[in-house]
Amino acid sequence: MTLRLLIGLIGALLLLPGCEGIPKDPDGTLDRIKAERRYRVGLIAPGTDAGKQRLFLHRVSAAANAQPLLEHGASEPLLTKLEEGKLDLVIGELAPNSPWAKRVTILPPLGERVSKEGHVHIVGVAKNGENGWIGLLHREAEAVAAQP
Amino acid sequence: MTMSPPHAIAEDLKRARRLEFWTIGWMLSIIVVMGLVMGSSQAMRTAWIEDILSLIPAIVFLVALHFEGKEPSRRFPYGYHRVHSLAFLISAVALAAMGAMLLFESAMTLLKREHVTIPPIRLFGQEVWMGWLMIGALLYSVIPPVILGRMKLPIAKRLQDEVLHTDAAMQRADWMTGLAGIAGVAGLGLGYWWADAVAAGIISLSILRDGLTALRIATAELVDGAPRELGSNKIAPDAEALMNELKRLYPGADVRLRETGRYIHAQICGARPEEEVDLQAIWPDDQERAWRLAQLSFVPPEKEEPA
Repeated sequence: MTLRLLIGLIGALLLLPGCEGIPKDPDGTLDRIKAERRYRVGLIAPGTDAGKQRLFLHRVSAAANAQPLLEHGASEPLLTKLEEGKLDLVIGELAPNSPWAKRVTILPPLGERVSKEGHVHIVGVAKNGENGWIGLLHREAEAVAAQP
Repeated sequence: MTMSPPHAIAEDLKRARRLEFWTIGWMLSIIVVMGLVMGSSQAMRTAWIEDILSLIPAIVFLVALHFEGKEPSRRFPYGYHRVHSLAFLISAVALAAMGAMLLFESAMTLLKREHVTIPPIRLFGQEVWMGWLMIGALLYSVIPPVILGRMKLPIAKRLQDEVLHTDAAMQRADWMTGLAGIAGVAGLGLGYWWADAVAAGIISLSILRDGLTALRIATAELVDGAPRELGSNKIAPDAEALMNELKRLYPGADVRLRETGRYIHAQICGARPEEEVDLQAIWPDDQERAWRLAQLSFVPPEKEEPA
């Protein structure tokens, strides 16, 4: 029985990567963004490296075929809203050892700045577990970081 | 009474020893592969820690086997058969701990409604969802335990070896958690954040039950309980038959049996032995398993106090 179960499982798994849209989002973020053609972004003030941030938003907009709705604020309220699902993306400076690192998903850094406390990354941040949306953001963040 | 393992089981002991070395080798390779892909996923981390835990029965089996053949010394006049009982207790604790840990972990994930992030990674210039790599690693981690566990069970029965039996149960736990992990990661891919925790939770109950049963038998063995059946808390049928035979041979005496490792020690209280006793002739069950009865000791009847 075990062996048959295993073979069946392997067979089913081989078919899966062919499916569109895996991984899917538990809260359906990417589907909603594509349907509404807009996504909600929180920008942590004061923004540094505005060029990279603009380029990132530009690329995400093109990839998701949607327009950003911008909102400015301090990091705590914006990240709380992100965690509650009221924002789709937050961009700003975050220390790599920030206590938020477990509660939200930090994307690859767009750039970094050396401050008195050490390296500070400029990053995009997404809600935990929205793996499809995170995949898209991940790709675009890496593409931006690779630019000179 | 000689301490080295009897001839009848020498071949099986060798085979068991070889299997345990294979187990350690395979499990180490699985630990490395899983460590490479586990990322920040809590579920993968748990599976990884379990893989490390599952080395314990294999290691303590080899240690116990090493001691089993040693002759008694001035410091250890009864020899080392009990090392096996101790090894059994350690394996039972490892198995029960694994079940408890898995149950706790999945309950916490469900209670905290934790949504697990699995990001893509760059592999040979291609963006790949890390989930696929995890599933690949989990598939690899499932296959060796299925095969090794199945090979160990019949040997454990012939050797009456609770440590090896617990190790086979550990292997079963291993491949079951592996499958649960695959279902969990695939479920995450389909957007069900709870899939992983639910799959692990269901399986943890069966592992915990195996672990607790093993723990009860191991405790019985260490407090001189009557010999138990392999993998169950019932009294072993061969011990039951031996008990009846000894009661027939020594009517009126108090017959007590206990188990040290795979061997049965019998004690007759309130009777005197004949000149010589042939242990093999006393054994009422299958003669190939007559090695089970390792010792028969007598406590002579006490002189009655005048009133």
